[in-house]
Parts: sequence; C-alpha cells; structure tokens
Amino acid sequence: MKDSDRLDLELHRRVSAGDRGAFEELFRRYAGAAYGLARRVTAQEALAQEVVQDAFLALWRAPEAYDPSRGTFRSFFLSLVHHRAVDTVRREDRLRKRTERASNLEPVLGEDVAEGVVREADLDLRRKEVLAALEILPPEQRQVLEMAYFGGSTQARIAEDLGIPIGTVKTRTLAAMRKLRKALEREDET
Amino acid sequence: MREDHERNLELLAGYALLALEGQDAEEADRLLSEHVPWCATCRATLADFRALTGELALAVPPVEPPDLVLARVRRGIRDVPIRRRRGAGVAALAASVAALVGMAGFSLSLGSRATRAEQDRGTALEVLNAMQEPGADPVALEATSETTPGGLVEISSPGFEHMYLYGDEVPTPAPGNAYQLWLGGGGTFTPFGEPFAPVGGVVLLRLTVDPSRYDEILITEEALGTTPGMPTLEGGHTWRASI
Repeated sequence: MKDSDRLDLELHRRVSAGDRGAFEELFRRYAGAAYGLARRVTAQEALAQEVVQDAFLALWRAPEAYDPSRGTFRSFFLSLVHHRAVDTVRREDRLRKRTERASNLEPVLGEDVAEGVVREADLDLRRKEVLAALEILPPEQRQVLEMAYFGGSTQARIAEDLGIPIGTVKTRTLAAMRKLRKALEREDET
Repeated sequence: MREDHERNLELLAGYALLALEGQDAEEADRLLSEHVPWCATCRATLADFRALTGELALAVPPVEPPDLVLARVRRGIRDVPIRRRRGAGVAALAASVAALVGMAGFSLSLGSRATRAEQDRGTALEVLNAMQEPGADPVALEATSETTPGGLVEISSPGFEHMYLYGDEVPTPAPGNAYQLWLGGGGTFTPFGEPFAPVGGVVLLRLTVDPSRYDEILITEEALGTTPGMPTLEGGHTWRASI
C-alpha cells in the first residue's frame, strides 16, 4: 500500500470517530480533484459546488460507506463525486445545456493545472499515470470513454451523436476500460 | 457462452460509467441480481471498473472550489452530526442480507410459493447490490419505545431509484394490525406502499421512490383494512429516522 493511501485510511478512520480536523484534511486533499471533476461533468459552477458539498457531507454523515477492503479511499470518494455529478445533471434535466457548454471545453488531454491550486504530490503523480494511460487508448476508444465519463452521456446518446451503432460504442467502451485497467495496474506494481 | 460473458462485461463497463439506459439498464440490473453475485470474474471486473471511475477523475485538472463551499460544508457538519445509530454498518449489514439470501428455502411469503420465494431472493440481492454502490447510505430507524426489539434499516444508494427496507427480529404486530410505512416531507406524512408484517421476524421491502424527495421515514402499527390519514403514534410499535 502506498503512503498516500495509508494516510487516507488513517484520516478516514479518524473521520469515522467524528474528528473534524481529519475531515478538513480530507477536504483539503480532495476538494480540488472533486471540484474539477464536478465542473467538468456538470459544466455549471453552482451545480458543481452542490455536488462537492453533498459528497463531503455524505462522507461525514456516513463514513462507513467506504469499505477499505474494496479499494482505495481516493477511488471510492472520487467515484462518489462522479456518481453525484452525473445524477445531478440528469435529475436537473440540464443535459442539453451542459452538452452545449461542454462542447466548448478543451479535451482532457493537454489541460494543465491552474496556478494557485493546492497540489498534492501523490495525486499529481497519479494524475500523470492516468493521463498516460488515457494516451495509449486509440482515439475512437478514448472518445466514447470521455463522452460517457466526462460528458455524462449514455451509450445510446453517444451512438446517436457519433452516428455509429450502439454495439460499437459498447465494444469500444469495454476495450478502453480494459486497457486503462491494465495500464494502471502496471503502474501500481512499479 | 464466451460471447455471453463478453456481453456481460460490456454491460458492466457501461454500468460503472453510469452510461446505460432503457433495455441495457434493465439487463444490467438483472445481471447484477442474478449473475454477478455468483460469478467471481464479473465481481472482480466490476470492482476494477468502479475503481477506474474514481481514478479517471484525476485526469481533470484540479480546481479549488470557492471558499463558500468549505464554509457550507463546515456549517453542514456542525448541523448534521454523524448518525451514530446506524445499525452495524454496511459490511455487517451486507453479511446479514447475504446470509438471508443463502438460506435454503428463503421466502418472506406466508405461502412459500416458489415464484414469491424467487422474488424475495431477487429483492435481497438488489439490496446487496445497492449496498455495494459508492455512497450506499443505510440509515437505522429508531424505535420510539425502548422496549421494541429488533431493528429496521433503510437503504438507498445514488443511482438506484429504489429504497429498501430491511429488518431483523421485527416483532409481529398485534392481532388485526399491520405495519404501515410513511414518508415525510415538509412536516407532512404520506402512507406509502401496502401494509406489511414480518415473516419470521424478517422484513424486506423494495419501494420505488426517489428518496431525495423526502426527509423522514416512519413506520407505525395500524388496524388492517383501514386507510389512516394520519400515522398512529400511540399504542403500537413505531420506528422513525431522518433520511
């Protein structure tokens, strides 16, 4: 287990005991990543703020929702943020607006971290690994993955937008997920 | 067979990305209830895909949220303390439901018909799936009387349009009575679903409802055959919780 994962585990244990200081430390570590993701998915500042706020409050209310035997805290928490962000855009029925705005966003690859952002060295390193893993994907696989994950689109919607059969979207998505998993597993082993 | 498994993995990838709708979503629900719990390959793959949906977040450059977000979160944690009385937590709760699923001839129906038993088992498996979701949020209902035995837990999870109610060692209501579930919002309670009674002390209900529309859940004991306009809070077992 990496030191950063061990640190998260310890902070999570203290949050479970009601330690507000540990909770604020987790906020400091993950608020930037969570807000960056929520902004990307919702494409609306106010909604993104709600998503981040709700995710952290959910963590405070029910820290036992994270089961350390099922993976890292980082994966759990950011997956929760993603879930809430996608739920929010769908519930708010603002997908059309989001799509229009998202079309103006830069692709994920090539984006850099803005100055002034609190940067955690371990998260920076992992970010580089994730970006490197995304780069090895063939463009057509990366495209469907990004439309689903960062765009919050369903596979049916992606097929419609790209004018390709939904079966092709499914095949590309699975292939992309497999390659990413393999690439990141390799990084974990090194 | 191999093609079927590939199809399953495609569904799991779409499911982990929250990208399914319509028939695919229904098929994934069936897969999660009927196949994944018994298939080590699919379980491991789903766990990996879920972990990926957390890691992928890091591909987006971090952006510091405005200070007001931390201020709101601080206010929130001050106003909403950790719910201490949550039963045994997700892992223990999952073990308890899993044990139920594994019981030979498990059924919550009085007649123990095979179709009903299968439905009950399916519901229990759905509860297991809901609990495995990130952010699964079981809430223990508090009995309003200290002498009421047993426990009831409400389970909901982001991405699931159902709320589940699971109870163990729940007392049988008085003769001629049944339990009624109420959902509250804005100070008003509305009866929800059919009256129910535990079978062998076990309660397992699936409710098609958006939990985010309500802020309180209440269970009361009511006379069978009546349509109460208001919950009866005296003279029977009652449980309630904020959700």
